[in-house]
Amino acid sequence: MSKEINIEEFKLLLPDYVSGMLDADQSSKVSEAIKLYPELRKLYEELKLTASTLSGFNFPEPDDKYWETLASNISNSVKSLENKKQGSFLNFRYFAAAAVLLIMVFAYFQKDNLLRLFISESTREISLTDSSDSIKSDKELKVDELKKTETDSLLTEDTEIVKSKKKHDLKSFKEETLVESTYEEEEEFDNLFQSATYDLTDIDELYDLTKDEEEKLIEEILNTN
Amino acid sequence: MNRLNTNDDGSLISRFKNGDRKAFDIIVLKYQKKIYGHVYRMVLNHDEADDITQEVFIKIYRSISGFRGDSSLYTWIYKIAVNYTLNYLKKRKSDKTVSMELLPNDIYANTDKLGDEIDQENRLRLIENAIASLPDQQRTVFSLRYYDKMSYDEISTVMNRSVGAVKANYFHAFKKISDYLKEKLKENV
Repeated sequence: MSKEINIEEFKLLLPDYVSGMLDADQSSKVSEAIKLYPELRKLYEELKLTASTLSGFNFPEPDDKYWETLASNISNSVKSLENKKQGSFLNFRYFAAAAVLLIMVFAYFQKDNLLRLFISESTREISLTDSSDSIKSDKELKVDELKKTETDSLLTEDTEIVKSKKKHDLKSFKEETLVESTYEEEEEFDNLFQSATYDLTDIDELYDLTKDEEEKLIEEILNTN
Repeated sequence: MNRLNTNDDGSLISRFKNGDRKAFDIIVLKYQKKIYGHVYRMVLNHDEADDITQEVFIKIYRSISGFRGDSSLYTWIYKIAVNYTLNYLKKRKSDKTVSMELLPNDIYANTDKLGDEIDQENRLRLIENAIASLPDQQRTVFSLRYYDKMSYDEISTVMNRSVGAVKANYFHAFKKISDYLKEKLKENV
């Protein structure tokens, strides 16, 4: 078993042995093994013949000019590769720049559209607000009108009340004052009363009169009388 | 001394990463013969080897910025070349194969003895075909070990295989070439 292992190991060393590629130590071990084992010796003889055929044989090698051409070709290929790479990088840069430009242009138009949309929306909103305001203001006007009418009506009513009150007051005053008056005096007073009430027909004036003014007016009438 | 220092692989990588494109040209000059040689032994055609070598260096140029230095630049470059070539061969297999029928009939004439008695051209054809008869993986290992004198550890790194597997591959490749040559000699005796 041990012998077989050794032979197999030596077999693997034989190609290097016949080619002179083993170091001195290994070489002497293989030489010993060849002497010991006929099987190994037979194989050695075969491989030795092959080695002698191979030795001294060199594959045809191109001349020096070829190597210059090869190196130059490789260098050119590498250069063109670099240029291509650079070109593609430049192309990429141009593409990127173009893309950015396109985005900007798009954004600009989009912005314009958005602006337009915004403006139109705003205008619409304003118009809606205006119409709403107008509706509102119409409503308010109507309400105001109604209020005014109502107020006028109330004022008229008040005036009537005031007038009536004044008349009543004057009448009462007349009655109180003229209890013991003569017919001429009574007639004169009536005239005065008529003129006084006539003066009081102006609604605004009447409306504006305060209690004091009222009294003052009555007093004036009386004084005139 | 300084010149040597600035042109070692580490310095070249640093220079390239710092934007010195000339460093890459130096890398090309340094490795183009080795890469072309390996590729040629794999495809056995100058034009294809020329194209592949250029493609490999372009690939190296594209990837070199990501080179972290986990392995040496030398094995890293070979790794790219080996993988690229193996993929190329896989594709090519469906299109054409290097066959014995392509060789002239008189190639094996007077090949009763290997060595001196075979003229250089016949010998070249014979060896090329012996190598061409190897499976791609074995051919790669044979090329890297026999012609490029790589250590098993380096081949293991380049091919992403164990050292044991690489050693076995090399032995089988060598043995197959031997068997091939022996057979061809017998045919022509």
